[in-house]
Amino acid sequence: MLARAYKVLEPYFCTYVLPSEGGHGLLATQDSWEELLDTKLPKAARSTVGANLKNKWGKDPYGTSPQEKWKQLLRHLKVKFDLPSIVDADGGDGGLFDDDDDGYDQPTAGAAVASNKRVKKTTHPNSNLDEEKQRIALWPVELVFEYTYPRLDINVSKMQNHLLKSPFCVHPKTGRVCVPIQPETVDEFDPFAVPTLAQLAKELDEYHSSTPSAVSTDGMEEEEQQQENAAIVDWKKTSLKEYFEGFEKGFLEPLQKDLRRKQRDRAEADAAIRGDF
Amino acid sequence: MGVSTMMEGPAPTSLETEAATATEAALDHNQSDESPAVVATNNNIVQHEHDSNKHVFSPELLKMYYARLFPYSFLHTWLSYNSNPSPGQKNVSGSTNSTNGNKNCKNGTISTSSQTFTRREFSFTLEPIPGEEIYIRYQSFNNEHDLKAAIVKRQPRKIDIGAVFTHPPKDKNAYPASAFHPVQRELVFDIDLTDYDGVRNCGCHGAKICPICWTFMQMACRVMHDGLKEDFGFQHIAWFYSGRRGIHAWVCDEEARALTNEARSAVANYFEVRVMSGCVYFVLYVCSCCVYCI
Repeated sequence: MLARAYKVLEPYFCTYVLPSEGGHGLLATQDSWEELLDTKLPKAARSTVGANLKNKWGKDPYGTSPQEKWKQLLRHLKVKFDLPSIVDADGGDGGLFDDDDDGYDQPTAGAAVASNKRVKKTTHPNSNLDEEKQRIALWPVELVFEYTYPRLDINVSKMQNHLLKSPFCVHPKTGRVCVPIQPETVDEFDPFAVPTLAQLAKELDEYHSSTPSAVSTDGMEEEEQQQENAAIVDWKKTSLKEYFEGFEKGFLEPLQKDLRRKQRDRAEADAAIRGDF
Repeated sequence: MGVSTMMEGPAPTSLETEAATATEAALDHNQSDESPAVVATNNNIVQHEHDSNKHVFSPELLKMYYARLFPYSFLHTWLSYNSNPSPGQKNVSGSTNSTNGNKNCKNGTISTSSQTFTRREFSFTLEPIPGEEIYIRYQSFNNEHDLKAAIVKRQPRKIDIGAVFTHPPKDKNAYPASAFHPVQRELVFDIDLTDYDGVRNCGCHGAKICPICWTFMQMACRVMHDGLKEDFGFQHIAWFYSGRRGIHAWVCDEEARALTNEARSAVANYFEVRVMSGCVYFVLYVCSCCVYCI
């Protein structure tokens, strides 16, 4: 579950958490990345990878994008501490291998060479990582989750008796309707486009005033038109239409279908028991 | 907090906290055999906000919404969990409706029946006098018609939905406390942007949101939806915008509705990842093949 969550969340993290334009700026400015490297990076990596990158990025602060810096950081950690790959969103090893050793000596089996305070680690593939390496290997996951992993109000879920706001209500502070969201297209959902009561009132008025035959030569046309208008349910005349129809198709109809199927199955099971066919 | 369902708002001031405490105490009080009480809450805070957003929300606009746009039939069809609901059907308590297969249903089991809707609790927050909110629980309705009639009549500022009980909540006082309890309820989740204040650097906090921090809700929805479907096999998950700064999920599979409180806690805990330095070990425990599978 966590691996799947990381695969989903890391791209959002890169797009919306790292940059300052359209994001929270975690790697956008010198101040922000230095703070990250000084305080969030595992201590064991600060004097090596952290120091190296502060130096490197400091020389050309905006030569790389925040996303590129993130990839560099992951790559440096991987090379420096000889970590296994973190699967990235593409499912591959994400190019975390780098031919350029970034100034770190490559680990050699059995050797421990100290060089400018950089600590060498040796490892065999697939061996158990020691505690420190495990921490460093999982740190990117930890960081991504810290920002992006769902934060639930657990108490709402735990009790059967806990009441929750009714769908389709209107929020009194914003005037917006509690509209359905289709999870398949959640990225396209715009809370700022959700209709308000004022907007809906306007839409209803506009619909009725723009529908032809407000003026008619005989009463019959107008009556027919009015009947037609009445036959169309009012929410279909407004921007609620898309949201509500999505609910019908995406949730209500599949639910009904499933209920029918289960009822059929039960009826058949009952019939089989009774011997009716 | 239990009161979170009743009062969305900025970080509670002492007035709100006081009112919240009083309301919570009153709700606890309601669990006994006393008649469902009317509870006065907020004062000044509601008045202030009432004035500032009249252009998008007003009693007149709400009246229009409840009269013409609120989809009563959706709620009725959904919450009946009956594949052949009759629109506006009358109370069929005791009747043998051919579309439900629960003639022999035992007490406490999930049943798809015309009574599922009638035994559902609704609560209303009313504001008959501006600045004075009243919260009433244990509302229940025989059918869609009665639901609409009550809402149109009462004009609730807020409507909440609770559990399906052993008996229609409006008749709660006719039964001893031991005989009146929930029997089914959707598995629900509430995700709120105020819980992300610690990581929002877009300039928003509390009730304020923007397109940048809204993306946290996209992420939460995707992870939760994937997990509920793939790890638990749930199929009928409805998501909604809360109207201001969050999203809600309603898991409506029969199995989900039957979950005990303990089971609900277990599901919620499954999704809980506490990100502290110690959590690395939690992650390792879950992914038994260590980092390789991450």
